Amino acid sequence: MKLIALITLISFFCFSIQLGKINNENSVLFNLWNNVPGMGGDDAESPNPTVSPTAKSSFDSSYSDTLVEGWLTVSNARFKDSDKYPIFTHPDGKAEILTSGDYTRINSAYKDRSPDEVGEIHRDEGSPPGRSFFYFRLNRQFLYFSETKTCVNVLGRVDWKNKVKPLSIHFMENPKCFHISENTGDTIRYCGKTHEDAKKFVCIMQTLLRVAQDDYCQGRVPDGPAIEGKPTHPPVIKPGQLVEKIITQPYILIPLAREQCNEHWDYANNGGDWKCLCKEGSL
Amino acid sequence: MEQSPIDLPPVQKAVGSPVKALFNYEKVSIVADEDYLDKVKSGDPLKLQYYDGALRIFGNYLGKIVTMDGGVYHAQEISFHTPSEHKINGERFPMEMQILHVGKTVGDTAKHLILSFVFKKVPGVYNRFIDSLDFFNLPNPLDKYRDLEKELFLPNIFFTTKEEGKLI
Repeated sequence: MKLIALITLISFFCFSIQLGKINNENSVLFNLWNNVPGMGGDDAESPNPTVSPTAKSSFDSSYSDTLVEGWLTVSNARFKDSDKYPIFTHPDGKAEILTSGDYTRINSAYKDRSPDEVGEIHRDEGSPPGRSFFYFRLNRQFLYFSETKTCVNVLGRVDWKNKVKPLSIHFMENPKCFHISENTGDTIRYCGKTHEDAKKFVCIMQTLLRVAQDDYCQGRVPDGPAIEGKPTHPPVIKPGQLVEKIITQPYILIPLAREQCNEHWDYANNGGDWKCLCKEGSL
Repeated sequence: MEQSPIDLPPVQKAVGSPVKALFNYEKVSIVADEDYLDKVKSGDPLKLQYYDGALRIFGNYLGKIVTMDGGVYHAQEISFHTPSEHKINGERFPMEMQILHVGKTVGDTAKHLILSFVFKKVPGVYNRFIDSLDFFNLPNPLDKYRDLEKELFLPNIFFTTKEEGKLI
């Protein structure tokens, strides 16, 4: 019987531009939330971005550890592109992405309140501080956001690992804002309430992307797997700290060719070593 | 195990392995240095030919693969299929190039090994190996042979050139 072994390699000799509805802002990523710790937990009162202090040893769970979270605005001219973000009609009316004049997305969960007698504005815990602010979380795989801190509906995300891989991150002239240019052709603007809020996100994202970063970022990201399983920058080691490293030497296997049928055969043995059946495939 | 051609799973589901077969492809002269069955005569130029419904190149030795168990397979035929025979994740590609290897070692002589490449069409992008075959002057059922004009170097399949559009 003829045995055919197949090895298939894919050669995508192209720089194909993949446009389309890759990143549907209206999608709900429930599975993402199964692994996100601290949803509405102890740190729910903090309005500012916070850095998670721990990194788990498990490979998969390390990806879902929230590295930084906080309130940001998001602006994208393509929010009004009905091809990419179609308008849905349902019994309660139309559902579409609301934006302001500069294409900054408006958070429908925001409710303006009047100041009380002492002049302070009281809002529900975890509600947005402004009508354009969404709650962003960053882990080693996604930058994703939802309407409020406790909401489980993810409105959009940047996928570090897979389809929507950001190409670059840099600050704009406004120090509170930064751009993320994605390989889908989109350039999306994100702004924090302060420069520090935005900077915390930018520094960690630059680290995850393994691009140049400033000194401010050193030691911000817990050591562990980053994009494509590669480790992030080395952890900060204190003077005198004992560091144990386990180095596994790689094994390199090089296949050695077996003897070929009647290779180097000659008449020295008067034909006694000729393998008649070999060429017929019987051996 | 399924019989080829099959619908392969997406690349993301491939299981990576540091253990690989040994691939050895060197430049192949356009003049055959050995006979190959009745298809190639020593001293004659290698040909791109229309044979059995496909474009093929035959040669006694176009390269080799050594599998992890030491089996040696010599490349002896390159064939082009349009569209591709194999699919990946349900998608059929515009072209597939198959390199047929024939077992040479004891115990492998009746076995074949096929290394297969599928191609996507992208405007303005040229593949260096395909370009070396003079694809604008192909054989056909009436005129079945074209002598190769450039030596074959299979690793060129991994190289492409991109031409930007020009305003004239």
